[in-house]
Amino acid sequence: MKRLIFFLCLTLLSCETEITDLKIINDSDDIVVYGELTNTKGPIKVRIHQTSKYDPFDISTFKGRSIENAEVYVKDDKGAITILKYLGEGLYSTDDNSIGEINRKYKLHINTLDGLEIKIDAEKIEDMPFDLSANLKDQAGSQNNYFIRRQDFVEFLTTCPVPPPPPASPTPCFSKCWEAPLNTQPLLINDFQLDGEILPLPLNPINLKDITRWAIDLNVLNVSKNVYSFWKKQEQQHLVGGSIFDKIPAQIKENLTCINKPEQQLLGVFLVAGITKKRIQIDRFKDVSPDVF
Amino acid sequence: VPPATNHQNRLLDLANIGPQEVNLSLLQNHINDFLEDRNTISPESNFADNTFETKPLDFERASILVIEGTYIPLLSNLDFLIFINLDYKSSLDNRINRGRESFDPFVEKVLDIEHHIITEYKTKADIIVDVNYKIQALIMPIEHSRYFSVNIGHTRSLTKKLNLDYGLGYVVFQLVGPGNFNVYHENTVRDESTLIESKPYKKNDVVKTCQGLEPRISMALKLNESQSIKIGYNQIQQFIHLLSNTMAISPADIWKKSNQQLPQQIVDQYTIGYVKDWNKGMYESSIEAYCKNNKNVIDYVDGAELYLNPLIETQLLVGKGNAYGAEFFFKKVRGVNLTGWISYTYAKSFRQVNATPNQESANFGLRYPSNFISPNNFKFVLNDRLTNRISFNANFTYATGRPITYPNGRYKIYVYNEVYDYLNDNNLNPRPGFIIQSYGRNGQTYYFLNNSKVDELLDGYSTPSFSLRNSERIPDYIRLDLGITLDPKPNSKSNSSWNFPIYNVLGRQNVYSIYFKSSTGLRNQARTYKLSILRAVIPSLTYNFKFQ
Repeated sequence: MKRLIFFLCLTLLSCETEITDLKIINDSDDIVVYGELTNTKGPIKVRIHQTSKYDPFDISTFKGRSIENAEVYVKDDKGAITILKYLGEGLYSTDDNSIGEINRKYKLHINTLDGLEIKIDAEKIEDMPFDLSANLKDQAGSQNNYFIRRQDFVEFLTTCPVPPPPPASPTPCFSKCWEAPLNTQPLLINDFQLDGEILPLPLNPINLKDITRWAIDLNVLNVSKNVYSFWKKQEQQHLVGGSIFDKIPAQIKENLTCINKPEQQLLGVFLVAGITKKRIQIDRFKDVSPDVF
Repeated sequence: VPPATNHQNRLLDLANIGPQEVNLSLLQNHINDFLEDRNTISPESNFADNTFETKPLDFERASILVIEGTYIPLLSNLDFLIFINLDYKSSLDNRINRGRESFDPFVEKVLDIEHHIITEYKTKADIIVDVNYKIQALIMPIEHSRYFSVNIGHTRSLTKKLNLDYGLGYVVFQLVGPGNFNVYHENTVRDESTLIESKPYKKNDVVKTCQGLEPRISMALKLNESQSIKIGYNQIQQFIHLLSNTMAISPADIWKKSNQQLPQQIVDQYTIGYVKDWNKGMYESSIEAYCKNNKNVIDYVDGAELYLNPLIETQLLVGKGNAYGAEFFFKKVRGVNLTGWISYTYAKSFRQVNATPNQESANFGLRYPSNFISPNNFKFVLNDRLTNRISFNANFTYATGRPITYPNGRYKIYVYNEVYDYLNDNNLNPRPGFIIQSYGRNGQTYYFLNNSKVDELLDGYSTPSFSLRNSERIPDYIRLDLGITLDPKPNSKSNSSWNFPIYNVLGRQNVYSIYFKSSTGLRNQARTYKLSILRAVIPSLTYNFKFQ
């Protein structure tokens, strides 16, 4: 009881305040690298930039300085080199339809104009031979980690041109259009304790009201344990609420190292993975029970 | 016995209800078969025919065994026990939904008795969940240990002015059962996938023994009547480790005992000190410097989850540390009116955790300040008797804020998708766009597109960047307390006094903790908050009296 009264008094005399002008001694000048290399046809893209100043809120317009005109290339385990050209805004890309090969290892090398030599440890492209539906059949006998990108396409009906305000009736000019809400949140699952089993994909329920058709593009990448762990930490860090039961916030690092300046912090990840793509289509009138409405 | 027969037994006598109704020894045998990868045959009750049938249990291919039942907590060799904290009504509803038994007032009476029995088992559970399977309590096991120590020491005067004190200790620490202790694959980084088993130990079974010597030596040299020098060295073995989460609203500590993965911490400490008395003992001053080297310091991984974590070893790292500092102290010991002391401490403490085959590094393998180190610590205490009856006291404290890890930037990870690539490749980004708008008429919703300017596509995964571990500091702590005491008149019969202290005269909102919230309803935020406790000027009045 005494303790309860003590803590009650402390609570009454305490105060939580949001700090809007956080004084930071060590501003971040970390370099962020993100790139993907898969076994599907398409240019290999890598973006390199620096972190921007701290802002408590999400930033829609990114202000981090791009790392321009660096020498960027991918080297495979046979020594073959593929050079990425600079396209602007920190984006580097191959100019052909490059393709990674299953079971081959790839390293990313970056030499910046400032003289930094950055390398990313070799990552192997693991096969991704699964028949993907809303579930995923795991490959038995190996530890697998899956990084899943989701892109929705939602059909909706429009009236055109802009209708007059009610009560005037709209012009009968309906069009079918597709909206593609952008989604950058990855889905992450692994086969821990479920080796070889069917893994359900954690797709959030879609809102079928007033929708005629809905398509979901899924890209499932069989990534390494390190890459999976990197994304898992990112997602967990987004759930921190200041409680002692939360993860302790920290810089999230991956396998990037600066060879000639070890104290230079490097963030991001170079993702090398086997990939399977699938489009799931939902027709309101065919696939959904009338009881839903 | 089969279900219907069991029911008849209960009708004969309610005292038949209890664990004796279940063949727990057979269940225990099945658990042992599972642990030893032996297939077995299990009885399966047939409610309709009131018989038992046999069912093979293929344990060779199973990796997890889940057992559900009323008296399960009475079994041993269980890794994890979950108690579903149903009330009587919820249990009854569940059984009605299951539809296996008929229901009458007698069955309700049976349920009531069973509930009383089961409630006693709650304390055995590792996790208690409610009717909706939400966790009500997660009970972490208590660790048991033994500690033995033997010490010998000797003090010797080498000369009239030089004293030598030396000794040797031998300490043994044993982590013992009961409990389950995690075993991980060797030479792989500890995480959930490298866990081999949670090995059960019985009461007093030794899980891990740590031992070591604790030598010590110190010398004191008396230069003259008022001055002396001391030097010393000692080694300490520490078997209990402090883990602190300093980035929460209420920084909290947990203590973890050494185990198979966490060796004992070994501290080598060197000290040197100089003491001088002034003005025939009126003043006293000292300077003391120290240096420490720590082996096997326990710290946590980046992004650790320390609380209620049954695999806490996966969050802990073994590293090394060093600390050094000096303390300056000056005291006015005697005086007619004025006494007090002043002290200043300078201290530094660092840790470093490198990657090994069993763990990853922390903080990129770079050295970082310890969690609670405050480099500058200044204290001033003053007591002044102003008159025969009135005395004044002041207490001032200044301490550099403790280290913390701040968000110091933001970055985006560009998770490419085909929509973004298409827009980018076709120079449509940034682009003129459309916004979906709607209006309702006659109960229907109409949608249309309206022109809208889309400045830039939000194409990245936005996330805060954090500083290196403990490279920032919370604001400095400054506090001044003042007080006046009114004593009774010299010839007064009463033995009472009034005391009027004022806490935190400067009214400074000293920061107790700084923490971050990302989960504020909107994704990808990292808002920073501070918590101040006793942040206002707090006056108080005390009346002291003594009974003769």
